[in-house]
Amino acid sequence: MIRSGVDLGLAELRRTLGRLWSSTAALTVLVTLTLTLAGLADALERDSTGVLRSLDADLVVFNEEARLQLLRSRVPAPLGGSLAFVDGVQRTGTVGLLPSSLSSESGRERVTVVGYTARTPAEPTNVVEGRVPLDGEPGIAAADVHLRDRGIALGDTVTLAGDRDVEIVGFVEDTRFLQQPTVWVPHDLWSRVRASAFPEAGWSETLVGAIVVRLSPGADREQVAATIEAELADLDQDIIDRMDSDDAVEGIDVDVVPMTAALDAIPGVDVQRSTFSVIVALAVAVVGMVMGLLFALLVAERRPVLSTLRAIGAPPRMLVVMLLTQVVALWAVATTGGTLATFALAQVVPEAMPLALRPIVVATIAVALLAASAVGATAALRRVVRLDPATVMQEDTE
Amino acid sequence: MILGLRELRRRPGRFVPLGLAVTLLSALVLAFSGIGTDHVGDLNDAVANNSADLLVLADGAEGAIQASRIDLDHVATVAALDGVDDARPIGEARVGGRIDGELYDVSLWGAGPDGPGAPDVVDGRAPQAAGEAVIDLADAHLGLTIGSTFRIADTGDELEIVGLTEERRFASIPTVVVTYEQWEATLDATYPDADEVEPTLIGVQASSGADVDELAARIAATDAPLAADAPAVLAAGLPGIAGVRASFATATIVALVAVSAVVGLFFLVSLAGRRRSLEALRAVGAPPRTLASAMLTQAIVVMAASNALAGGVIGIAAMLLPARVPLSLSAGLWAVVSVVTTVVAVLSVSVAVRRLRSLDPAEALGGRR
Repeated sequence: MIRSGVDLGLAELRRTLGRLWSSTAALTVLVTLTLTLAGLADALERDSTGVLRSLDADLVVFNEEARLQLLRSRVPAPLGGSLAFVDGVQRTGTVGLLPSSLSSESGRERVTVVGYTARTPAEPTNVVEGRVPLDGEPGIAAADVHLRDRGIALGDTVTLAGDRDVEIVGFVEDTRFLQQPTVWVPHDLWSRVRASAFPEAGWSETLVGAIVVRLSPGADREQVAATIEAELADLDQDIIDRMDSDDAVEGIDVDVVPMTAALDAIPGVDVQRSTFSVIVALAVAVVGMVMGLLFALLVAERRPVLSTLRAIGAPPRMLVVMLLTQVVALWAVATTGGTLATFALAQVVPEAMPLALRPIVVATIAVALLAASAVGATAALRRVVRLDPATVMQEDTE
Repeated sequence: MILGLRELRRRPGRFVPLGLAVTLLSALVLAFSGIGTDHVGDLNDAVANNSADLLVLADGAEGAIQASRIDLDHVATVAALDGVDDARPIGEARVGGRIDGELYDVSLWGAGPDGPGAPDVVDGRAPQAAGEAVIDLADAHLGLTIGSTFRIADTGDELEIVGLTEERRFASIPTVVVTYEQWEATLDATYPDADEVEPTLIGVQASSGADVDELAARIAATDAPLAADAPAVLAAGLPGIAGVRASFATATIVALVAVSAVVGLFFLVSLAGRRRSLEALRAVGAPPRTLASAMLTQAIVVMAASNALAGGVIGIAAMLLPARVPLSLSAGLWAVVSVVTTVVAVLSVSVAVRRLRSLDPAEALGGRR
């Protein structure tokens, strides 16, 4: 009976393709809308958090004063090395973020300059062309691919912060910070750019932004974080000596948090995620309800046909299978069409609008819409089950 | 027209699915826009609606307030420029606030008690002394009203709310304004080992008749490494704001286009479902103009009722949603959505009417299916 229902559903779809085009088009538009919203939300978050996601690290160490804000955090670089001896720590590195500008033949734009220690968890992992600079290499940088899209090529010389020329030797992908592209340079160059940008802050090669930590396999994240906080609050004298600090220092108060918490603390990310989650959930719910209403309209339109089928002996379950087949078929066509339309939209929207579709986003939305469609179609299916051929035919003759 | 209204009265259930679908879809567009507008405002209103004519930040900060630190001496440098009536330091920092026992990240602003940058309160008064603070109305749901108190988590200092601001939030977290001296003292006590506390911004009040753009250029041209912008310009250029604004604008435009298209297609589907009865009416002699008038009347009534309901749904949702998801109803957009969707519905019905005109009554009587 299931096979018959499926065959009947597909046969009717083939036969009534012309009449179903408007329903299919409506569903395709709704899927496009939902995927666009999900794509926007995803791209917005990724373009804010790329700089940290591109690191192969488990924990981030901020100075307490920064309250997990990467742009505010300042920790002495020697602390990174001192953590290598903490149980559970496999490797440490340091990163520093600095809002800056990049000038090239294509013009000037705002960027975030990232200082990092090479060959550590602070090195970006998504190198797509060329290479990233090693520690101490003078005058070279790796840039986010967004800048390549703006016309900057390998070997080009660009100017950071208006007065620091660097040669681009590589491109990294998906490393943006707060929607801005990043430029990755060794720490000494980063310190020089920082000194140019903030002359009053003075020159300090030892002061960086945050420490990133990769844990040994099986290490307890919370326990290691607590150990690091305790260790840094009471520093050994040799580390204090290497910190080159003018003040009498006994220890540094830090916040050590998992990478996920550091990502959530990037300004706006947490709230944007919850806001867009509400919007996408709202869209999926509305699309599900609209699909349900659409199927209700379709069932109402085809009541005479369905009741005739019932009158000639088709069991209700067969009609339900038939209708479900059509729901799934329409969903499949609409999802395919909507995905293609959204991909096309992503190619034509201006660069300022972050819209990108990842397979995981498409799959999640497709499943959610299938579930919403099935729920939405339930009322229509119930009406089919309750169809009384005699009543419908009587209505028809009225 | 009468035929259309009569059918609406006699068989309202026939139009319920269509009306519900339109209501939901219109509400969706209004929700996107409402949430987007409020969300962007929550991120940068404290800057955009600042009372200063110009806000000065460290040139090297490239528009990122979080990265700006200004030497206190530069306040005097700016204040001495021609065209400057007043210049005051403004501080911003993220601190822990213990409100009703719960710990929150709070954006603590230090400004005033008077002069440029001082908070414009809508209820109560601006903070005048140590221990006084104003908070934004949007954070009142946390239990903070005039006369209530909360503590700075790290110092234990108690602050009493003496006034409320409106649309002055920053970074989408509870936003509190205290006097600059209080802000300085709070940061000093919170981080005793830190370097000297420095202002984040300088608020500038231009002299009467001074050209603000020219003044901004003069501030940037001083020896001090400073940049100046009007509050609205600075707010629009904060890192990430353009992307968020563009995302919500895209969402609203795509939703409006999609919803309009779906509304049109829904009317086509709905009219296809009523084709038999319309054919029968043509067959018994109902002129196409009468049927067209009836269908257009129904479309306009359904659209008006649905869009009114959509506005109501968003209005109620705005009151019920948690403060974490800000939502407001834009009357302008509501009007645009109503007009656009109604026009599309009417166009859609017109297409169906054209098909109806070409229908041969004899063929309809023959029961072509």
